[in-house]
Amino acid sequence: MTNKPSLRDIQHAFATSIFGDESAVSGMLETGKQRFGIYQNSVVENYRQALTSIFPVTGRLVGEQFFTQAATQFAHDTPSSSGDLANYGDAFPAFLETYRPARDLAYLPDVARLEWIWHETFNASDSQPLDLDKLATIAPADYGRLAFELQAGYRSLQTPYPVDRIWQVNQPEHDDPELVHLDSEPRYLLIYRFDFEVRIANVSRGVHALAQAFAHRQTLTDATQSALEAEPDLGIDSAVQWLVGERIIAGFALDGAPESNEQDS
Amino acid sequence: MNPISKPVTGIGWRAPHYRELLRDRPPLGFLEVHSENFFANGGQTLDFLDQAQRLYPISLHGVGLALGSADPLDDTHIKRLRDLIARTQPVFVSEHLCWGSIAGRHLNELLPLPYTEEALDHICARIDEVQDRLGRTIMIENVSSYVRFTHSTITEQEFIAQVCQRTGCDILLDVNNVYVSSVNHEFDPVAFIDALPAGACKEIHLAGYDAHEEDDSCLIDTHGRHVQSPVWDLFRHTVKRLGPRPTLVEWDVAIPELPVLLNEAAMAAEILNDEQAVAA
Repeated sequence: MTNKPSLRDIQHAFATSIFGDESAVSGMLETGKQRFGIYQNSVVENYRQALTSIFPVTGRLVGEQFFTQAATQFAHDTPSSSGDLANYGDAFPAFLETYRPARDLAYLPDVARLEWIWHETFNASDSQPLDLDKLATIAPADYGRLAFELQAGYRSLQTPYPVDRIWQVNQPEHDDPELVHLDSEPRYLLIYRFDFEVRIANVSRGVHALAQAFAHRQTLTDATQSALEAEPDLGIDSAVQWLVGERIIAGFALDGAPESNEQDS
Repeated sequence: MNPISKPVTGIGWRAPHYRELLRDRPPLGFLEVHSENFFANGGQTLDFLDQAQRLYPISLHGVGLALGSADPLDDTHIKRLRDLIARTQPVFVSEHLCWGSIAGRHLNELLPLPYTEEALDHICARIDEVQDRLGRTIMIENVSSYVRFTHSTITEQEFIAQVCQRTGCDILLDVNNVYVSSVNHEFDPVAFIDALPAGACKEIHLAGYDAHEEDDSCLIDTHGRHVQSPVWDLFRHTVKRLGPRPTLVEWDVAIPELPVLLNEAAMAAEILNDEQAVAA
């Protein structure tokens, strides 16, 4: 090398060498390769630790060695795009779908999806319960124009596997070994916060359709139609009451027009 | 005891101790947290910090800003940090003298810089920008390192002193990191510390290191065990030179029971007391 490498050149060479070709940086270092290996190990270990803390059930299902191998492969394939490792791992569930050693564990990617959603919901903005006094000011003739706002932590997950049960029986406090039958009904899961607690509810197809319609800011009239298409027998009133009681519904507007009590960004 | 001379020690507060510390409220001079651990929009973790902030002075210690990276600063990261500062009103805000990302790819590790004029100009401009955007002075911490670049033209201690002089930032002196690097790169740790501007050193860090499994000439900065005796010795020297400074014990992997960590902080307090008594 004739010209002195720039700071950018050095950092490029270093990063390239972390994930493979050590020759990119070796000429720039005073000490030998073994010392550079400390960084190769620690970078990948930091990613693995981040995944381990976000996906504990996935890890428990496959065992430590399997998880470490999968996480290592993912760490090499998937760059982190943030200085905050809490943002690392959103692509891990999709990675598990293509990860050949996991191909017989069809439910595993959806377990990981639930864990990523749990992580997002746990850290979401705090929402207030619906202001019922304010709702009482709406004239019954206008109910059809109500567009409910859902809490910031609300997410949904549709899955053919009982991943909510798998998640529950693999919590540290759950000490009864229990067999979860994989051939159960498809799941419509709502994930949300009640104060600081993350709740996972297995709801009917119609309740799921109703909540999703609200999430897309449909009015009560339109959301009711969507929900009844999904589940003709659904009791809309009791479904809405449940969504309010669980604090999934956190606010409202008329006709979807923005309202003054917007939550923080 | 003269209350003014009362030494101040703290611990790095990590997730396994969130609940226990809030319940037991041990006497500590301050608590330090990794800023990024509280970058959530809401939820329980942030509430724990709100509670702690009512009990202890808080120090925000960042690990992810990548001050020395050639990439532009991450606006989202700075905004999150600014929001957290507004929320917690910390006594200290610190980051590391290192880089961590390039071409948008974050390595999420505290990586050593080449100590060149170019790197010095670059990181000074970045610290200026961060201090402007945060509206306050930050402290920068020396990192431990395992490699050095052939292109370096300045010693690390000169580099740090220059950064402070040019940007007005302060130093978070990690005595363990000085010791680890001194073994790995065969320099005199006492001379290193003596070369730093004493007035700018506003906080001291202590932690445990481990020996490299295959290379006994190399130490690894694991933050995974007790503070080792050479580091206590170097800490005594540091306190002699600087006078007592707020001192923090960090333990980040294989985190022990809280009393173990509190005991490390008590040992640091004893040394601060001893040196204070000698000076008086």
